[in-house]
Amino acid sequence: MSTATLDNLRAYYEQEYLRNHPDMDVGDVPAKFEALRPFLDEASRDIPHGSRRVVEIGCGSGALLTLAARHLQAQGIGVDLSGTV
Amino acid sequence: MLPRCDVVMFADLVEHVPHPREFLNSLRAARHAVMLVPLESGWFSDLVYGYRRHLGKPTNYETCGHLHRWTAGGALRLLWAAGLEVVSYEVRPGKFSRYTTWRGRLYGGFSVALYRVWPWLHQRVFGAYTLLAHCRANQED
Repeated sequence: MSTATLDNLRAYYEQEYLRNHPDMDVGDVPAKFEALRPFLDEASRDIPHGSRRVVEIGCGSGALLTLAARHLQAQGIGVDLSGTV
Repeated sequence: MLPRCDVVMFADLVEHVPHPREFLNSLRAARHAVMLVPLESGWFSDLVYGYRRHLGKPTNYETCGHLHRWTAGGALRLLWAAGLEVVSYEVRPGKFSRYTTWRGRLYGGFSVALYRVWPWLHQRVFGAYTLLAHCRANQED
Protein backbone atom coordinates (compact mmCIF):
# COMPACT_ATOMS: atom_id res chain seq x y z
CA MET A 1 0.00 0.00 0.00
CA SER A 2 1.38 3.43 -0.83
CA THR A 3 2.37 5.92 1.86
CA ALA A 4 -0.19 8.43 0.55
CA THR A 5 -3.03 5.90 0.99
CA LEU A 6 -1.90 5.08 4.53
CA ASP A 7 -1.67 8.77 5.39
CA ASN A 8 -5.18 9.36 4.03
CA LEU A 9 -6.57 6.44 6.02
CA ARG A 10 -4.80 7.55 9.19
CA ALA A 11 -6.11 11.09 8.78
CA TYR A 12 -9.65 9.82 8.21
CA TYR A 13 -9.68 7.61 11.33
CA GLU A 14 -7.91 10.08 13.60
CA GLN A 15 -10.26 12.92 12.69
CA GLU A 16 -13.65 12.11 11.15
CA TYR A 17 -14.10 8.54 12.41
CA LEU A 18 -13.19 9.28 16.02
CA ARG A 19 -15.49 12.31 15.97
CA ASN A 20 -18.41 10.14 14.81
CA HIS A 21 -17.53 7.19 17.09
CA PRO A 22 -15.95 8.52 20.30
CA ASP A 23 -16.51 5.19 22.12
CA MET A 24 -15.59 3.10 19.09
CA ASP A 25 -13.57 0.43 20.84
CA VAL A 26 -14.96 0.53 24.35
CA GLY A 27 -18.74 0.06 24.34
CA ASP A 28 -19.09 -3.29 22.62
CA VAL A 29 -15.74 -4.84 23.55
CA PRO A 30 -17.14 -7.31 26.15
CA ALA A 31 -19.72 -8.58 23.64
CA LYS A 32 -17.07 -8.95 20.92
CA PHE A 33 -14.81 -10.82 23.29
CA GLU A 34 -17.58 -13.21 24.34
CA ALA A 35 -18.35 -13.87 20.66
CA LEU A 36 -14.70 -14.51 19.80
CA ARG A 37 -13.79 -16.49 22.93
CA PRO A 38 -14.70 -19.99 21.64
CA PHE A 39 -12.67 -19.34 18.47
CA LEU A 40 -9.69 -18.07 20.49
CA ASP A 41 -9.90 -21.17 22.69
CA GLU A 42 -9.95 -23.40 19.64
CA ALA A 43 -7.02 -21.59 18.01
CA SER A 44 -4.83 -21.73 21.11
CA ARG A 45 -5.68 -25.29 22.13
CA ASP A 46 -2.42 -26.79 20.85
CA ILE A 47 -0.18 -23.93 21.99
CA PRO A 48 1.36 -24.44 25.44
CA HIS A 49 0.67 -21.89 28.18
CA GLY A 50 3.51 -19.50 28.83
CA SER A 51 4.68 -19.29 25.24
CA ARG A 52 1.54 -17.92 23.63
CA ARG A 53 1.65 -14.68 21.68
CA VAL A 54 -1.48 -13.03 20.36
CA VAL A 55 -1.44 -10.06 18.01
CA GLU A 56 -4.46 -7.83 17.42
CA ILE A 57 -4.48 -5.74 14.27
CA GLY A 58 -6.45 -2.51 14.58
CA CYS A 59 -6.33 -2.78 18.39
CA GLY A 60 -7.41 0.81 19.15
CA SER A 61 -7.08 1.32 22.92
CA GLY A 62 -6.23 -2.38 23.35
CA ALA A 63 -9.34 -3.22 25.40
CA LEU A 64 -10.21 -6.32 23.35
CA LEU A 65 -6.58 -7.43 23.18
CA THR A 66 -6.24 -7.10 26.95
CA LEU A 67 -9.25 -9.37 27.51
CA ALA A 68 -8.02 -11.90 24.95
CA ALA A 69 -4.43 -12.00 26.21
CA ARG A 70 -5.58 -12.35 29.81
CA HIS A 71 -7.99 -15.15 28.89
CA LEU A 72 -5.38 -17.05 26.85
CA GLN A 73 -2.60 -16.33 29.38
CA ALA A 74 -0.65 -14.98 26.43
CA GLN A 75 1.63 -12.10 25.62
CA GLY A 76 -0.45 -9.50 23.75
CA ILE A 77 0.86 -7.27 21.00
CA GLY A 78 -1.35 -4.56 19.52
CA VAL A 79 -0.94 -2.99 16.10
CA ASP A 80 -2.85 0.11 15.01
CA LEU A 81 -2.58 2.59 12.19
CA SER A 82 -3.55 5.48 14.42
CA GLY A 83 -1.26 6.94 17.04
CA THR A 84 -4.06 8.73 18.89
CA VAL A 85 -6.34 5.91 20.07
CA MET B 1 4.94 -6.97 8.47
CA LEU B 2 3.15 -9.18 11.00
CA PRO B 3 4.99 -9.66 14.33
CA ARG B 4 5.79 -13.30 15.10
CA CYS B 5 2.80 -14.81 16.90
CA ASP B 6 0.63 -17.87 17.41
CA VAL B 7 -2.72 -16.16 17.01
CA VAL B 8 -3.56 -13.02 15.08
CA MET B 9 -6.98 -11.52 15.73
CA PHE B 10 -9.02 -8.61 14.49
CA ALA B 11 -12.57 -7.36 14.91
CA ASP B 12 -14.46 -4.94 12.65
CA LEU B 13 -11.32 -4.27 10.65
CA VAL B 14 -11.17 -5.95 7.26
CA GLU B 15 -14.12 -3.98 5.83
CA HIS B 16 -11.95 -0.84 6.26
CA VAL B 17 -8.94 -2.24 4.40
CA PRO B 18 -8.52 -1.11 0.77
CA HIS B 19 -7.08 -4.47 -0.40
CA PRO B 20 -8.61 -7.12 1.87
CA ARG B 21 -7.35 -10.15 -0.06
CA GLU B 22 -3.71 -9.03 0.20
CA PHE B 23 -4.22 -8.15 3.85
CA LEU B 24 -5.72 -11.55 4.68
CA ASN B 25 -2.99 -13.33 2.72
CA SER B 26 -0.37 -11.61 4.86
CA LEU B 27 -1.94 -13.23 7.96
CA ARG B 28 -0.75 -16.64 6.76
CA ALA B 29 2.49 -15.94 8.63
CA ALA B 30 0.61 -16.59 11.88
CA ARG B 31 -0.43 -20.11 12.90
CA HIS B 32 -4.03 -19.11 13.50
CA ALA B 33 -6.26 -16.16 12.62
CA VAL B 34 -9.43 -15.34 14.58
CA MET B 35 -11.73 -12.67 13.23
CA LEU B 36 -15.02 -10.84 13.47
CA VAL B 37 -16.29 -9.51 10.15
CA PRO B 38 -19.53 -7.52 9.72
CA LEU B 39 -21.78 -8.81 6.93
CA GLU B 40 -23.77 -5.87 5.65
CA SER B 41 -24.73 -7.10 2.22
CA GLY B 42 -28.25 -8.35 1.52
CA TRP B 43 -30.66 -8.00 -1.40
CA PHE B 44 -32.77 -5.28 0.21
CA SER B 45 -29.95 -3.64 2.20
CA ASP B 46 -27.87 -3.36 -1.00
CA LEU B 47 -30.81 -1.70 -2.76
CA VAL B 48 -31.17 0.81 0.09
CA TYR B 49 -27.41 1.36 0.16
CA GLY B 50 -27.26 2.06 -3.59
CA TYR B 51 -30.31 4.32 -3.43
CA ARG B 52 -28.85 6.38 -0.56
CA ARG B 53 -25.52 6.74 -2.35
CA HIS B 54 -27.37 7.76 -5.51
CA LEU B 55 -29.17 10.50 -3.52
CA GLY B 56 -25.93 11.59 -1.85
CA LYS B 57 -27.16 10.55 1.62
CA PRO B 58 -24.62 9.14 4.09
CA THR B 59 -24.11 5.38 4.32
CA ASN B 60 -21.65 3.24 6.28
CA TYR B 61 -19.14 4.09 3.56
CA GLU B 62 -19.10 7.74 4.64
CA THR B 63 -19.96 7.48 8.34
CA CYS B 64 -17.91 4.39 9.25
CA GLY B 65 -15.34 4.07 6.45
CA HIS B 66 -16.67 0.66 5.40
CA LEU B 67 -15.11 0.15 1.98
CA HIS B 68 -16.55 -3.35 1.49
CA ARG B 69 -19.86 -5.12 2.04
CA TRP B 70 -20.06 -8.90 2.12
CA THR B 71 -22.55 -11.71 2.47
CA ALA B 72 -21.48 -14.70 4.55
CA GLY B 73 -20.67 -16.64 1.37
CA GLY B 74 -18.73 -13.72 -0.09
CA ALA B 75 -16.62 -13.32 3.05
CA LEU B 76 -15.87 -17.06 3.23
CA ARG B 77 -14.87 -17.10 -0.46
CA LEU B 78 -12.56 -14.15 0.19
CA LEU B 79 -10.85 -16.04 3.03
CA TRP B 80 -10.36 -19.05 0.78
CA ALA B 81 -9.03 -16.88 -2.07
CA ALA B 82 -6.55 -15.29 0.35
CA GLY B 83 -5.08 -18.71 1.11
CA LEU B 84 -6.75 -19.23 4.48
CA GLU B 85 -8.44 -22.46 5.49
CA VAL B 86 -11.57 -21.87 7.56
CA VAL B 87 -11.38 -24.26 10.52
CA SER B 88 -14.69 -23.15 12.04
CA TYR B 89 -17.11 -20.29 11.69
CA GLU B 90 -20.44 -18.94 12.87
CA VAL B 91 -22.79 -16.37 11.38
CA ARG B 92 -24.72 -14.37 13.99
CA PRO B 93 -27.46 -11.79 13.56
CA GLY B 94 -26.64 -8.26 14.67
CA LYS B 95 -28.75 -6.08 16.93
CA PHE B 96 -32.17 -5.12 15.64
CA SER B 97 -32.45 -1.35 15.44
CA ARG B 98 -35.24 0.60 17.14
CA TYR B 99 -37.06 2.88 14.71
CA THR B 100 -39.10 5.97 15.50
CA THR B 101 -40.74 6.77 12.14
CA TRP B 102 -43.69 4.75 10.82
CA ARG B 103 -41.64 3.70 7.78
CA GLY B 104 -38.82 2.60 10.07
CA ARG B 105 -41.20 0.65 12.29
CA LEU B 106 -42.71 -1.04 9.26
CA TYR B 107 -39.23 -1.97 8.04
CA GLY B 108 -38.10 -3.13 11.49
CA GLY B 109 -41.28 -5.11 12.10
CA PHE B 110 -40.99 -6.91 8.78
CA SER B 111 -37.31 -7.62 9.48
CA VAL B 112 -38.00 -9.17 12.90
CA ALA B 113 -40.96 -11.18 11.57
CA LEU B 114 -38.91 -12.59 8.69
CA TYR B 115 -36.04 -13.45 11.06
CA ARG B 116 -38.41 -15.43 13.27
CA VAL B 117 -40.04 -17.26 10.37
CA TRP B 118 -37.13 -17.84 8.02
CA PRO B 119 -33.67 -16.83 9.36
CA TRP B 120 -31.80 -17.89 6.21
CA LEU B 121 -33.94 -15.65 4.00
CA HIS B 122 -33.66 -12.81 6.52
CA GLN B 123 -29.88 -12.95 6.25
CA ARG B 124 -30.00 -12.88 2.44
CA VAL B 125 -32.48 -9.98 2.35
CA PHE B 126 -31.34 -7.68 5.18
CA GLY B 127 -27.68 -8.46 5.89
CA ALA B 128 -26.56 -6.91 9.21
CA TYR B 129 -24.97 -10.15 10.41
CA THR B 130 -21.54 -10.95 11.79
CA LEU B 131 -19.09 -13.63 10.70
CA LEU B 132 -16.92 -15.13 13.44
CA ALA B 133 -14.18 -17.39 12.12
CA HIS B 134 -11.04 -19.29 13.03
CA CYS B 135 -8.67 -19.81 10.08
CA ARG B 136 -5.21 -21.14 9.46
CA ALA B 137 -2.89 -21.01 6.46
CA ASN B 138 -3.98 -23.34 3.69
CA GLN B 139 -1.17 -25.90 3.44
CA GLU B 140 -2.02 -26.69 -0.19
CA ASP B 141 -0.94 -23.21 -1.36
